[in-house]
Amino acid sequence: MGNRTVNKLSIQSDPELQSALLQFYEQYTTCLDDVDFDRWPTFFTPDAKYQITSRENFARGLPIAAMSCDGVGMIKDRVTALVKVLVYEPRIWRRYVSSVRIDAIEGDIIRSRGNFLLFESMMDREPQLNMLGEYVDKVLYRDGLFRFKERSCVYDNYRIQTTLFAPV
Amino acid sequence: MLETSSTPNTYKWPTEGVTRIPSWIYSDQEIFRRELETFHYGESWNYIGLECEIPTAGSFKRSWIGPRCVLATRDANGQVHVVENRCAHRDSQLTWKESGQFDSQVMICPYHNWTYDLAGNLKTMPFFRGCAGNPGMPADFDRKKNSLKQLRVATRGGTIWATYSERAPDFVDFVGPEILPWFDRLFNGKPLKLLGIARQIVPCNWKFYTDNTHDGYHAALLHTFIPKFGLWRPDGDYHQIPTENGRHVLYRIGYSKELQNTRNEVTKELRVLESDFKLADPSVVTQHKDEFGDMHNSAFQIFPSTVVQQFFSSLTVRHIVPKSAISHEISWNFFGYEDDDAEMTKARVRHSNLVGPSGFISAEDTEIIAQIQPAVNEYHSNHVIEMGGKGTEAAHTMISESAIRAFYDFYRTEMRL
Repeated sequence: MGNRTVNKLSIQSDPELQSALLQFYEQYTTCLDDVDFDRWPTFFTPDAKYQITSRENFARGLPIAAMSCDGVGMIKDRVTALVKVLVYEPRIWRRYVSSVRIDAIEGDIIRSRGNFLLFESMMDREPQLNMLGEYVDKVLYRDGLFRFKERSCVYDNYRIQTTLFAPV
Repeated sequence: MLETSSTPNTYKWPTEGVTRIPSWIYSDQEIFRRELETFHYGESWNYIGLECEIPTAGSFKRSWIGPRCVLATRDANGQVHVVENRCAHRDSQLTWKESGQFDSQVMICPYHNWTYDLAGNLKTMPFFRGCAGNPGMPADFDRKKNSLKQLRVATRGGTIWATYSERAPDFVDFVGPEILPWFDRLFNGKPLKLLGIARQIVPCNWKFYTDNTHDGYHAALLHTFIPKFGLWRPDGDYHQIPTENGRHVLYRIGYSKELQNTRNEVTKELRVLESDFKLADPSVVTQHKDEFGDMHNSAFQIFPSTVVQQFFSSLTVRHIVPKSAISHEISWNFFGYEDDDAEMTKARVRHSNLVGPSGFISAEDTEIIAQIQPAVNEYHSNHVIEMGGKGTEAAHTMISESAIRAFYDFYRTEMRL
């Protein structure tokens, strides 16, 4: 993950680090946009925690989320279910990420955030903004690679539109 | 699907009775208003929230009864009140927050600062008795007549309910003796803990959702995750029991690890079974602990506002909130107990992946009903509800629509259709 290596994780405002991290965030969303679901789990560490949760729950420190994965096995199962089991109207998902910023660096863990938009284009009607919010992450940087150790997709939406099928 | 020549203006139910549902009940505005008056604002108890969400004096939680916004408050004596979130003066909302704390044991409207106690009684307002030559309110202004609309409240096992009706039976009688033991099984007096709330907004009539929760028939067919992982099976120990003349419905499902993995002539009828999909982490479909000591999963609908369910370790109250004839909200209120250890809380969160707005066995419910709405907006037809026969008795199989027929027997009586 990340085409450029970063030698030192010591300066928060290091523009090289900032740029490499943004690239990592965008590679993640384009992987999902491309429906390259076999590759999506490779963005995570084996023990990664991934959740899609509301601002309401996140701000109150409540553990329930719409999707809650503890370990890369559960992350894999989410996309396998999406491809092989779940029944839903066909659609195109497209994600936008911006405002990626580093809040802190603790050893080889980067605490970072970004804004996300998830658009949904159904097959018989117009595109709509489905979900928006903030990624709240712990990114492990090791051996020249970024991987998510923790990713919380915290949506600002009060309510999910109908059903949430897509990973964010 | 049978086309019918009757128009919704005549509001005549098909002559066959409850083996037919006329599709205009899912789109007609007047039927929607009549349902709210008959059920939500009538002699029904509506789910409001959990007591643990309003733990301290002055705390409040916002909730909904249909399109009406209400507040649950706790006063300094520990008593729970439910009032409309609507100032008696100009209908302003008293708060825009989902939950929080009112200061000094009063609720103050932001518009003209009319001030109410936590039970909703109007206490005072600025300039009530006038000042600097302004006379204030007239002498015949009666604060009692200008208080918030206060609802009748019941609490049981840590849950809060409210009704608009003085005539509604006591809550335990409303729930009825068949469901009450299953209610008390979950809300057993142990202090509850809110684990989180997940909300969905669904662009279709709310009764498609309540029908869906009466429809064991679809479970193993639409939710292919279910047969694939043996979570329920057509040959399992499965009971769907209409109660209170079809008003509510109770499900109890015996859980057997052995049956979960069995393949036989019943599983041959299911479309998706022997695919190459194995879970990388099967703990999501594995029981953590038989916490209630009865090897059961259970759900029940307390009409019109809730489905309460326990599936493995995931405990949740689904709050069904009609917003219009063509939209409704569902909030999933997940809870545990104060004495849950860390492993149990983890299991509750893990199993919540099965349910909720993204749940492996629930995601398709709202998806499938939302895409029906355009058809019932356009066409008037009668839905044929004859799986399992024509009766309204309890069924001991998933493959029956008898609970739907029982519900519409009740619905027709209450709605005078």
